[in-house]
Amino acid sequence: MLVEPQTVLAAADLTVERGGLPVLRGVSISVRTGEAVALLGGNGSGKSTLIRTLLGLLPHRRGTVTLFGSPVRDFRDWARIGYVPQRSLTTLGGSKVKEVVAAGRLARRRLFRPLSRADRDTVQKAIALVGLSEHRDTDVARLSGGQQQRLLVARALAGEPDLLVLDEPTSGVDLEHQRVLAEVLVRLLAAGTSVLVVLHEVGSLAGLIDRAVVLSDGRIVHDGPLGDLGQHRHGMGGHQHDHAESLDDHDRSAETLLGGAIEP
Amino acid sequence: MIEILSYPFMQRALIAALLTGLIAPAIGTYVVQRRLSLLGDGLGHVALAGVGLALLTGAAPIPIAVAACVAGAVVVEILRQRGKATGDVGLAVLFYGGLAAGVFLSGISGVGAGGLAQYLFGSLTTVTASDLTLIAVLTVVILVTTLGLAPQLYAVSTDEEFAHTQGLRVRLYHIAVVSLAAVTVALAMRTVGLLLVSALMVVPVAAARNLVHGFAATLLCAIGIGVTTAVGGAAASFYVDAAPGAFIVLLAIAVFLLSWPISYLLRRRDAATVLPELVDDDELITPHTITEDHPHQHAPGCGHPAVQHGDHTDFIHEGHRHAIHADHYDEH
Repeated sequence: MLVEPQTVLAAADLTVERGGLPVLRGVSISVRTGEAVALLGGNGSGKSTLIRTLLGLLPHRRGTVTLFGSPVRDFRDWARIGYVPQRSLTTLGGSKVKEVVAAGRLARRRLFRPLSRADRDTVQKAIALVGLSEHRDTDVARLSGGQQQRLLVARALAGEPDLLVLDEPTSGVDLEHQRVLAEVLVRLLAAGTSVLVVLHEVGSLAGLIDRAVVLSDGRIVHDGPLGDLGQHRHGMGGHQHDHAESLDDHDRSAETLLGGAIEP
Repeated sequence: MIEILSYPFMQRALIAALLTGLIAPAIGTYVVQRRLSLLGDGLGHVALAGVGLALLTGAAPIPIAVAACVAGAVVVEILRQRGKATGDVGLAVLFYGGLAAGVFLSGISGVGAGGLAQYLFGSLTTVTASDLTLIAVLTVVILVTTLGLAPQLYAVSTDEEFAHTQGLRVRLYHIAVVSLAAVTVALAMRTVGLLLVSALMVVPVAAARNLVHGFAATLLCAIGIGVTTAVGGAAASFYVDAAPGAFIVLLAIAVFLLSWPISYLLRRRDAATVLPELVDDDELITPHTITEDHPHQHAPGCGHPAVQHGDHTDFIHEGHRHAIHADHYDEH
């Protein structure tokens, strides 16, 4: 018997205003268990606003947001969610890598209790997974942009989430970091984690995206496979082939994708 | 040192200084992390309104100042969270309102603004036993919170939105931090004084940031600097007959100034031992330049300084670096 995949995140008819102006208008989006959804759109299309509304960081004027079956307002099981914010928005300088990553365990920790051995082990594993083990004790301010981005991914992974939400994890980082990120995401997806990732361009992650949602001017103009947008679709191993060449491909197709998105 | 311990007023002064040195940097670390370094200064003005009220009603000044300060801090924080206190104007109005109210109330009470001076600049040597009990109780509360809830407070003061997605009640923690800062300020009016307490919340933290890496280390180092300068300043001021509050703050600033050259030296030492990683930019492989005929055999302890360069060791050789590669050396 075929079991309908469970929905981990769902929003219906979402309207969000900021400073009196509508930023999102009647947006509906969902992510199912084990699915990788890319949220695409140009600057100012409302991608980040949508992500932050879905996580309850911004209030919405109309519509519903449901996380793992409960309304976002009443949602308490935050350990199931791993959030990777935009790198530019954080002020983590002065902290060590392992301190930042340990903050990702907080949803699973109780007040006034020190970090347990199991917590420590999970933090180490998350750091190792993104390849920062040598930098455990390094000041975050001394990491490169790509390393800082991977650090934010490790912090989200330290909570062992069922849903990973990433806000532009590939912007402004070089190919090597994008490759590491793609590998990490492939492993998580294989383990059943769901992924919602905001991207400015599909780039090196194209190979692992199951579905693309395209926002334009606060509305959803496409929701379906990447291929439907004229995108050459790679298999799961898509990230393994020659990078310099494939990224060019992706860049070009991402442009057509976004260009085409304006006229649905 | 023995001599000053024989005076009960100096014993109380030293204990009060010790406790202030403990709590001001402990809470200050979170305040500085949130870039609210001048919060303490502003709250000091609000505390004056409490002192004025105490002078008018004849009540003990510390409890009233604590209450006024906490109320002011919570109002400011709520205004900030609701986005109402855009710019500094709202805060300035509240703070100078506090100062004006303090001067006004003390004037009505007949004491005059001069009566406020001991609170502005501290009066360590007039700390009473009951003052000390109150300070000690609040010190325990502040230390239990700032150290026991360090992981949570760290998360909300470094990355508010991420802390929210960890299920933390971010607003509540923010209110807790500013309230504790308010309590610290009100307590410090008996030690370093309201005008200088902000310095003890900020300066040891700034110095610690130069001296050590990591948030936990900064917190502990700042407390260490705070305690040392507070007790040292209080004791020294007894011998040179100086104002203890001012002495303590000047000592803390001296430590801060010294931390700059020390951090420079520490950084240079770090930089000399580890060169930037190669691991992360495999694309940029060091060009393969083979050294000219090089009879010397590099090995650890060969006399050429060895430096870690990514996954291998380079030997510094007359201004350039040699890396062992098969049977020859590469120029790195």
